[in-house]
Amino acid sequence: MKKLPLASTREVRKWAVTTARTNGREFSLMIGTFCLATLIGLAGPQLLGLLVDSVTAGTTTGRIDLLAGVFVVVLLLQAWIKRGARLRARKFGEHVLADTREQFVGNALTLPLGTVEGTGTGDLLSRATTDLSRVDHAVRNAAPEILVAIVAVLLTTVAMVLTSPLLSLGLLVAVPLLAATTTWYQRRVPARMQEMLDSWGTLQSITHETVEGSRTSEALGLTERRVGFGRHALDDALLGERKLRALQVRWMPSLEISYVLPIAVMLLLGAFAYGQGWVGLGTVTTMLLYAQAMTTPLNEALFWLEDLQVSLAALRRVLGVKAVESSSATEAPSGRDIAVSDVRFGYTEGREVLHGIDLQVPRGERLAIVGPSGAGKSTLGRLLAGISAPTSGSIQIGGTEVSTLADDVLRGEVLLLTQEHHVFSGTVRENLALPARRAGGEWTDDELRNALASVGASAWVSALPNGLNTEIGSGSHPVPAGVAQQLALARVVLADPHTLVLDEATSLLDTGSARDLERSLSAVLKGRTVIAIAHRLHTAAAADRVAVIEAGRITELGSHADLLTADGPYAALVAAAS
Amino acid sequence: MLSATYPLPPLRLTSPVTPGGYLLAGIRARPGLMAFAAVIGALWMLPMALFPFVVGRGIDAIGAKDWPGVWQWAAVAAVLGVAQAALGTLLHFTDFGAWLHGAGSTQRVASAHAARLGATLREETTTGNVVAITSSDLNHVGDVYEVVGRAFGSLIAFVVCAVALLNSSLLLGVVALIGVPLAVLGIGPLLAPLQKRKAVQREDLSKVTALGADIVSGLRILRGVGGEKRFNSRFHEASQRVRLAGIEVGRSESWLAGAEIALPGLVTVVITWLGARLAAEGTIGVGELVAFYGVSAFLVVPVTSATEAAGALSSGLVAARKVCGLLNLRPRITDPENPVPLPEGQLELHDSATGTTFAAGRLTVIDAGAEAEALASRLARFTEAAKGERVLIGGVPAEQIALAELRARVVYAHNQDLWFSGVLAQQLDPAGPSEVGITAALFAADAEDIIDALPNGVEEVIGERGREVSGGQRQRLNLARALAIDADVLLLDEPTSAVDAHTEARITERVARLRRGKTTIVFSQSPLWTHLADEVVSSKVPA
Repeated sequence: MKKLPLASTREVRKWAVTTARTNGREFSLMIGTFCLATLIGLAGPQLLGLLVDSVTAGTTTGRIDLLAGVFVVVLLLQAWIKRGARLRARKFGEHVLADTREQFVGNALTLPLGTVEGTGTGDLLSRATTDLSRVDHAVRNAAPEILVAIVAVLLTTVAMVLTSPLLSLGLLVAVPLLAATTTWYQRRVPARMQEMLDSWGTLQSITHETVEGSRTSEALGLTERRVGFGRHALDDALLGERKLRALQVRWMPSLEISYVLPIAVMLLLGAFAYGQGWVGLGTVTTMLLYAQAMTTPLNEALFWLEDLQVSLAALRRVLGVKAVESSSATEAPSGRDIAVSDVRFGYTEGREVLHGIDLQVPRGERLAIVGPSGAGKSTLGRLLAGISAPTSGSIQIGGTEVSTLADDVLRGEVLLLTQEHHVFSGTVRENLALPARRAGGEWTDDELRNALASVGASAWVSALPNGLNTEIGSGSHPVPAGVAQQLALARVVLADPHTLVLDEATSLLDTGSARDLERSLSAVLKGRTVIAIAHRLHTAAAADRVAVIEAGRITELGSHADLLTADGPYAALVAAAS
Repeated sequence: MLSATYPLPPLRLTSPVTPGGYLLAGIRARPGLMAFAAVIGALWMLPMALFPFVVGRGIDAIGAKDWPGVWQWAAVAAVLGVAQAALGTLLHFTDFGAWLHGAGSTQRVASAHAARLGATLREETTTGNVVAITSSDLNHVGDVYEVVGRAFGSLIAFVVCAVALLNSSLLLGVVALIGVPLAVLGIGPLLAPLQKRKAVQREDLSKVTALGADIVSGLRILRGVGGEKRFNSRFHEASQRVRLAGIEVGRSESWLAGAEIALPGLVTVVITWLGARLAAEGTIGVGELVAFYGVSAFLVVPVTSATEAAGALSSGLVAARKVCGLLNLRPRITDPENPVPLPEGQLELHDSATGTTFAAGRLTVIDAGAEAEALASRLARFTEAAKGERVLIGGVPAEQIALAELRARVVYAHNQDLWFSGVLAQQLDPAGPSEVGITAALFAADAEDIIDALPNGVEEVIGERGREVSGGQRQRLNLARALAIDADVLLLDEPTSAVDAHTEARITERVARLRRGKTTIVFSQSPLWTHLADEVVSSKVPA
């Protein structure tokens, strides 16, 4: 199974720059308020320095009271501005998150069917859930905290240099240690992080499959094996977390030391400078308090850095789902005849499945495709429905290449119906009204009811508590497999394509449902070109022509009667069935 | 080197389990780890709490031009720094471990319980719900355990600071002892609306996640017949609701952020103001004033830790409630209190509702029409027989047989059964004892050519739902998997509906031979099956 790509670091950076730029005003206002709140906070140590100097020099209680009053005002101002900054950050964050999520789903909805089938649901699902929530968590919590920390550290450093350039030299002792260990850590962490996220992704896919296949597991006694499988994947995910922890544990001590060491050095430097009479005790106090004040934002930054890194890796997965430009041919083809010429196709290079197919299907014909399983019948069906483009050769409807048709045009021309179905959580109406209405606007109740009636699902729907507006799908009203297929057929009626490709649309249902469905199906097929990949030979017998496909080639083509007379592979197949 | 498995001792849970009970069970499962986290948390805060005093002493020494004293206090500061680095790292390690324990146990317990609910699961809850619990709620549960060490440490640090302050000045100590808890209490009223708004947003968020998951799961259909725009705008609406709810959360949060500065800050100002007056009077030294300022500023840390812990606990309880909701689900089909063992040997099946009997050790083919699925589900007890009706297996009423024994001896294979991603052989290989090898089962299902075409044969890793192979091929593999179990009773529903006639002829003949002497019930309308059947129940069964 292929995996969807990851966005490159450059693409993530570009995304960040674009996001900041398109929301330029909000972004700079947010940063500005954070800076202001921090700046005001820096007044605290200065005030204490003044107090210390006043006390050392001998002062009046009046002056102390005044300074305390100023202190209170500064504090309240800081709190108020911090409040505003947090709110701005939140608004900005929610805006970015909503955009990111909507863009992700929007892009996923443009993925070509071939890609969707090739990658499986698990990969996309873990991007849509786990990865998006990781980004969510980071943008809501980690990003503002780290932003505050960076602003605080930068501004505090500036304040220190301005207060006493000499004592600020004390900060330098931390720099080499910090730089060396952080470089070491940062070089190793992305790979570990990716490994860890991938293992959580795998775990989630396994859980998802276990839940979806719970009946299968119970019926075939596979439950304990699934539980063991899940446990194994959980161990992998936890191992990934622990490997990350092992890295952090080696990096953290140097980090913590690097913000205590400067304080010790500054005590010594302060003593020296004070002894020389270069600085007052108040300045030494202010500087030491600044150095201490840096601990909190650095600690916060450290605490949240991991979440930010996790989310960056997750963001790469989210942004890896890119929009795919849909085909440009928005004009419906003029004719309805299908022409296939010299079509070759392989899913992987070097393993060709179809070796040169030529086929003409005139409008309104019923063509049955038969042959041993694995001969390439389904593959041909997918090419005819425009899901994949042939490796070479051409498939045209009315003279237009099928693979160049825009989605909505293609669906009005030809649809592939398989036995796979999915009931969306939502109302019956929402489950039905998927195809675009040719006349534009919304499908009317009458149109929906007629479609349901033509596939024989009226009775089921009218028995629902709220008719078309009943919530169905997982968690609400259950939908039997047979009805789910009827709903799929009703959608086909609404889409109204002139050609239908049926691939085992009924074959995997239990007998009863299959019979009901075949009745419904015949109503749907009326007046359309039908290409049916058939296993039941009575379908083939009823068709206008039969194509026998063996090992990727059409070996026989003709009417049921002609082929019986020819006494070739088809005749042998019929003989075997009776 | 790290060992591959992480110890996750089983949680001892009551039935039904409550959110609080669930969180406590996690603590009880690893009491040592939790106690260690608390001790390290307390030790870790101590150097931080003592640091302002050391700096204060250092400043006093500078003021007094006591150079050896300055050296001494600088050295003490460095030592405290090293201790803090060591303890901080150890705490991170331990907290991380506690998180792993909480999140890992939740993942394990929830997913195992979901798996064991079996066929009932999909009727009782949604895939999205289980996925949300095992991917998002587990984080919140883990956070509760992670915060324990720091929360406990905060408490200890607060007491230590208060004692140190009281020793220096009774007045300042009392102000700190009363002021700081008041500041915490003052923040309290802001938490309730925040939690309420957070709950609203979480609800909206889980809706938008479920919608996203639904869109992705049904992407094949959306990309096949259309509806992308409609679902895109549904998602957009849901997403914007989350955004607005998030801004409401932000409003509460911003008040909290402001209060976290203002309230403890006021305590600091009062202490500094009183301290400065005392220093001006000469009652305390300048260094002590600086220490008081530093300590009261440090006290913000325990206060924010306390609010963080409260937040983690309340989110954790919400998440634990969801976990408990899943854990309290019970299968619809329950084990009998006093199970009756099935007789040895071949089993006869009887369904009173339709009056049908399936002879022991025979291949019966039945065309049950629309009733097929209901009848098969009843016979294998995936659904209960209607009131007054009964299903007898080997003469024993189905509901009196232990489920494990029933499932092991009566296997009902369905065309809707799934393949899981993973190595094919691991799924073909039956869980219980079987005298039918994989090779024989693959031969009987005429599936050898499918295996031959795979690059790695039966060792091939297949993807989700086995999408690599076509529907007809998958049906033959399904049949092989069911045959390999070698069950005493095997129910097959339309096992050859998707294969061509040549293949069907081979399969029917080989299956009949393989299952000779065992009870096999095939629901089919195909003449190839009826030709080979020992018994044919041909007439439509009255509903």
